[in-house]
Amino acid sequence: MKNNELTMTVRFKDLSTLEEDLLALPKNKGVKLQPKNVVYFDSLPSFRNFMTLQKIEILTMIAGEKPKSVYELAKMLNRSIAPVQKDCQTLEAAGFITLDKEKAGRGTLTPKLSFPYHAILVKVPVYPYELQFKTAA
Amino acid sequence: MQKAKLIRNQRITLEEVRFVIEVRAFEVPKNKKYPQGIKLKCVLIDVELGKPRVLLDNHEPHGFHLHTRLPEDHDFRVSLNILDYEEAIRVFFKEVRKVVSNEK
Repeated sequence: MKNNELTMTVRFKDLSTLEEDLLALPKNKGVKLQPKNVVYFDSLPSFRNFMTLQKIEILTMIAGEKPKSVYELAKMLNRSIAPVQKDCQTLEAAGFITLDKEKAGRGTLTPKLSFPYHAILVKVPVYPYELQFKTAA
Repeated sequence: MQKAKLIRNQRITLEEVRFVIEVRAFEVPKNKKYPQGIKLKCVLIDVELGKPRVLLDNHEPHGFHLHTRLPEDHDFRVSLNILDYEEAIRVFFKEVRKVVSNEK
């Protein structure tokens, strides 16, 4: 991967860790904002079940062909519109894309990458497993 | 009036995008309403419904309160009668765990 390629990074944080992070806030009020190029999932299985091949195809098509609507995207993918629309909604909820509503006319939703990234980098946490291994040894 | 400054924002996807948690915390001047100088908004969004399920915040004129009849009734709120930020966070996560485990 080239260094200048923009990447979307997938990180993991479970509910308990998020709660602990937030509980620490009154002691440390420094600014700690989530970068635009990072999305969080609660677990690796959650991400694996979410990111299907169909969703990767959607991201590839949006990046390459820049469809003007979900309908156009579904046609490009040769899939029916309803499941493509549902996939787009969940990709938007997770932070991978945005669905920009056309201001004039019929309010068509245009799918766009949330920023122009070229790759998705999944940061799988291996440290806890290593720690468990050392503890077991 | 001094403007609230965003100091934390976090968005996490849960349960294969069945739910999304969004947390936003702002630094505000300390006063009776905000003794710790933090204005908070925590929301659990049901992606399938496209609506919030749990919402905890402490905007004025209310203190920390929980919207317990979402998504049907956004205006119904239960005052938590607490001033402590940490306690509010614990209440939010307790509610989140309740909703998430009920949907499994």
